[in-house]
Amino acid sequence: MPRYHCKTCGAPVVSSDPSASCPTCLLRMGVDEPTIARDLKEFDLPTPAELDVAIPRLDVLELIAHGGMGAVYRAKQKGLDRVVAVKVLPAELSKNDLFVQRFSQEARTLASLNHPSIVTVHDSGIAEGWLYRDGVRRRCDTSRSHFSEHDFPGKGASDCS
Amino acid sequence: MTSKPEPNRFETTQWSEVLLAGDPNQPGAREALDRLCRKYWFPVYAVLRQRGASHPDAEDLTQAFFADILGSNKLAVADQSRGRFRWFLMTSCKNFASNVHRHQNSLRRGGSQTHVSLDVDMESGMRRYDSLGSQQSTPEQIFDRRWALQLIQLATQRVRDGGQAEWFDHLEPFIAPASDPPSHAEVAEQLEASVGAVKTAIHRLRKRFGVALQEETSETVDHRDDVKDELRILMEALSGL
Repeated sequence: MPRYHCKTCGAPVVSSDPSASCPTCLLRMGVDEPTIARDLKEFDLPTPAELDVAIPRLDVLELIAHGGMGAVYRAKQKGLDRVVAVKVLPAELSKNDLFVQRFSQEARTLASLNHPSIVTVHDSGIAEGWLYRDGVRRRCDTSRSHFSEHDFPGKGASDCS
Repeated sequence: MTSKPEPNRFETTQWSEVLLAGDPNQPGAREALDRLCRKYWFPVYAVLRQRGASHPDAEDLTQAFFADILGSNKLAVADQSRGRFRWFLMTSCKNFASNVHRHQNSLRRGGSQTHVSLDVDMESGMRRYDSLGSQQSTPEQIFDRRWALQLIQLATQRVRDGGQAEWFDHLEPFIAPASDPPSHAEVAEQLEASVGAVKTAIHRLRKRFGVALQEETSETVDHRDDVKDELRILMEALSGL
């Protein structure tokens, strides 16, 4: 089998195809590319309008924050006019059965609890491929400024994390 | 098995799901392990070929190896080589290969109770193996190189499946040409596009490939920080071809 060296990096290439790609150069692209974060900004973060359509019972007002494992939006529950926070996880997670199972179990557990420091979960599910849950937390942890009383006047801070 | 509490753990990594479950027979974990085994059967096949097995024997033994992995709790080995699916599979494969004659005898006696169908293209595997002479290398080197090539193939497929397959087929030779690539103008004409559009598409394709490679790699490691290290190790493995 012919062996030659890559014109770009000099690494050995074993191939009978003169137009073959250099596997070392290909791997380097994975090294050079900024590390993928399990971060919604890298994974097609849904716009409030898209979420609005996906979850019809909510008026999704704005994106509050996004981080390593999801994004949080401020929304209003239609009819009740109650402000809630909606946590949305990367769409790919909704394809992971084990993760969905755990996420649902966690939501059920949270929904069964009633404590001022614990999120009260109203709903959880998959909407248009997005794994989400929404709810309210009555008292805010000051380290989570995104969910201050100011952000959620009248109803206290909301968080689903 | 206890799980590491680091925040950088991939929540979606198939391998971390297997490790977290600690038992491949648990719902979800077995399927995740099964998917990984289907993707990465080729390095195992290559090691068995390098150990002297003919194509039909290596085919049977590869099936037997994965039946063994999927049918029993081998995660004690994973605990020792924790973190990377490649290490787990290589360690298991080395043990299996060193006992291959005993294993064959066991199989003949009906010792394997688990049937597994990998549903993989063994014929293609044979051609790929035969096209890469490798009799001088250690099983670890063989395994890592085949792993690298498999990873590239998976990432390539991921990019191609991501859309614009026709463009991909025309532009693939430009992603990382080992020698002089075809002319941009020629391909632009075939695609009925401008040379500028072709160059932009190539740039985007390279970025997409880098991301796809990281995503495929992330399925086989336990921590986000390991992805680039894993790729560097595989680059090193290829340098010794």
